[in-house]
Amino acid sequence: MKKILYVMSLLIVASMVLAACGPAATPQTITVTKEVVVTKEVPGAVQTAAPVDMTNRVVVRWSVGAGTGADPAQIPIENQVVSDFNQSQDKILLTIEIIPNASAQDTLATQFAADNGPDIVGPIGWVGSNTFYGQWLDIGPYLQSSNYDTSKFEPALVKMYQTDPTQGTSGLPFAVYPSALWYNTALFDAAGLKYPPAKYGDKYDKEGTMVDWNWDTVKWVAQKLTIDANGKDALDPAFDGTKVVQYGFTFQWEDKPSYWGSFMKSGPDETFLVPGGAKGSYKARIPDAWKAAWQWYYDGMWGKQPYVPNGAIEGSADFNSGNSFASGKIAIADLPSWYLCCVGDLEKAGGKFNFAPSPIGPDGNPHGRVDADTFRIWKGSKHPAEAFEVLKYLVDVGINKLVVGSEGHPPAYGAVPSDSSLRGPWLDAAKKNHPSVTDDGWNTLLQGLNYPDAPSAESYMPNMNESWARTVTFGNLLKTSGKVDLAKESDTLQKDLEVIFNK
Amino acid sequence: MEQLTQLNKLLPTAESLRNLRPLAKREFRNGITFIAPWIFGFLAFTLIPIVATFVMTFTDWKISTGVVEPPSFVGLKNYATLLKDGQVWSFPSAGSTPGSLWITLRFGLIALPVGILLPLGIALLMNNKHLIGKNFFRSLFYMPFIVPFVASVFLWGGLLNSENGWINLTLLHLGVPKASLPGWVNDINWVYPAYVIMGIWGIGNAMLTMLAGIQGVPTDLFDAAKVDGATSFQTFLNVTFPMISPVIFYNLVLNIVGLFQYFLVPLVINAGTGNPGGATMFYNLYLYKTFFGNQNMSYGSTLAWLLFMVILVVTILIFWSARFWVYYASENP
Repeated sequence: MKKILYVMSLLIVASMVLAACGPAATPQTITVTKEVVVTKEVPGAVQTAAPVDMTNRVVVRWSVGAGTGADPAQIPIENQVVSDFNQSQDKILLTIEIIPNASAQDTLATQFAADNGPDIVGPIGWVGSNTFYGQWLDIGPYLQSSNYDTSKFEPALVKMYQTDPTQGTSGLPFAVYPSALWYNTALFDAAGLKYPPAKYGDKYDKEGTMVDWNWDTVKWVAQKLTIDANGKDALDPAFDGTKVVQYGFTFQWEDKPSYWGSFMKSGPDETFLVPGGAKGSYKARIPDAWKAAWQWYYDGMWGKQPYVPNGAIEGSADFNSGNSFASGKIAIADLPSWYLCCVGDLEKAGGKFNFAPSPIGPDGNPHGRVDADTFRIWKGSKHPAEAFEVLKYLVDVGINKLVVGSEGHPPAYGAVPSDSSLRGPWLDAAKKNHPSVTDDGWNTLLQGLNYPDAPSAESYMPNMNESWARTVTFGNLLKTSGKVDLAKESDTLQKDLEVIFNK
Repeated sequence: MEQLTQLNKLLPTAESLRNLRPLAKREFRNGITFIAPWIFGFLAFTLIPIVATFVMTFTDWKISTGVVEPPSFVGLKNYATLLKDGQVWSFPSAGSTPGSLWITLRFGLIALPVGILLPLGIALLMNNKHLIGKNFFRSLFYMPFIVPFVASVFLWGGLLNSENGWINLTLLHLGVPKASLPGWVNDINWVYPAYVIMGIWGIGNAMLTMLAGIQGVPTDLFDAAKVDGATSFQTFLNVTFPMISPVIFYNLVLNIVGLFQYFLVPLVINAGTGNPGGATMFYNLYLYKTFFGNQNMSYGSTLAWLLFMVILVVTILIFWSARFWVYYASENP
């Protein structure tokens, strides 16, 4: 009896060891027969199934969730696009893996590490894709060999994906979000100020004098539109900065220091990472133009004549708990077009807004930001040519259901289509939903696509997650503390980034 | 040393095992068999990981980019990086982002006294002969300790909400101007007091152990103090405190270890971002994010070993200091 117990115990221990050390259950089952159902199992993924009726195809896996795309309302549209693609040709079987956003990064890292990554990933933004820097295929050769016509995109958007020579062409424009200054027309009317210029290149009528629409002008306008409880504006000597009831300007949810910098100047010199380094010798920098931008923003929040709400004020219920422009108490906000999602509170209260051009930066050129989602092909893909075919389909055809939409069929992603010929339905819907915006305003918003931040304000830094988090903490400090020695803290940020880059 | 020698005497030698009778041998074998799962668990989930993390501190190994290469030996590079890591060491000053170790220590300056003195004060009150309904109050103070900590953190998050939390609504009702209301967990000046208030919720256990200590003090000592004409404060200082000093010592050690492992509240309340302004990036949270957010296994291990060393040194110092202020009746008959 004791022997049996002894052997049993050993068996239990041995089974525990084997279970712990054994390979994980195979997560992938692909069955392709006549009239098959494609089933893929990815831990944490939503199960999807698409009936197809052809055999002997190359399987291309499309992973969704690292950016947008995993919301329940988006999934049926994405499945439909998969189905359409599979019906449209007989060489490739496209399967979709939808991963909840919260676990997408870990899942992808694990899949890549196990050499079992999806062939195509997206839509995915800059930070998400830069987390896997070096893992994406340079699609330049494929674009060349297929004579892909990129003229349907704004040249600046195409260039945006070619700013890093070591990575080649990392993507094609797909879903884009141009930025502009959003201004509350009623607040300008109440103050008797002229509206901002309607078009890029126009000057501003500053009380009868035509001046450049630059950041100094924006500051002046913002101060004129910042009002205290006694009705004094921020340029009035009697202004009480502790009792402000209306502010002139905000970056609102664009709350990262690299965004503030890029709105004023972007270019090859405007990155945190000094190009050309290598592991162990990476250098960090704080671009001078960005330091100036941060000072502009910081003085706006904490100076004697503030014109920007600080973090606590902007987060208060008086300012709509963070969605401050929609509170009707902010005159100008600098935001990308995705904010169309959330301006409803202002409109419901009878408020009106319009778009103005991004201001001219210190180099004499306007600088905006373009948030962009695209698809990336994994470098380790066993079928890169087929994955490129899928990418082309998504950008050329899938975009109609995913981004453009049609009457009664809203798109999956609320972005501006990168293909300029497909913007009609998007514009029609936008005009219908936001009647206060003039035609000039919509044109100005779309013109913003010519002024992307290139390199992106979310451009690659070594140890991307931690580097990015450190810059975000710096930004949060500026928004929450009025005692920051900006020069000193910028130096600290630079030193910290350099340590992080080389970890 | 003497204890080790005694322990060695308890362990079986090869010779003593050989000389065992068959029955004893079987019992010994069965004992080993039954304890094997624990030994396996200890090795697999405690000892080997500890050794592995130490080895990892000399390697470069991260998986965040999805590229897993075998850990490469880098010598003391991680320790060199640690020494110049501002996110650990940056000294706190107004308007700056302090290093995580200083954040932890600075918070400790507020949290530790509260975590020791408050339960001690409440225990003294609970022991007061004039208190009516002692059992009721004891239960009342202990009850929050039973609530799962995460649940209570969420609860406090709601209470301390700067816009619609009950605390600020009450302050507003009491006439505090809206502009002067604390921003609590979103305000760089109020976030530590907010965390300490949340911590008070869990003092029930410390209160109970101190109460038990107080109740264990022989009453004849109090009678003697009374006869000598000692005031209440003198009695506390010369009788109660020395007699319960081992309990205070025990709670102090637990509090300090808990302080260096402080993690859950900033993770839940401020989403582990370190906001506001980096003020809540406690050391243990930084360690966690390095391991599981940035997936930098080597540097995470180095941080973990620094944490271990700091706790070890602080604990040794406290034990050393104990000889000056902790009174063990058994050692002083």
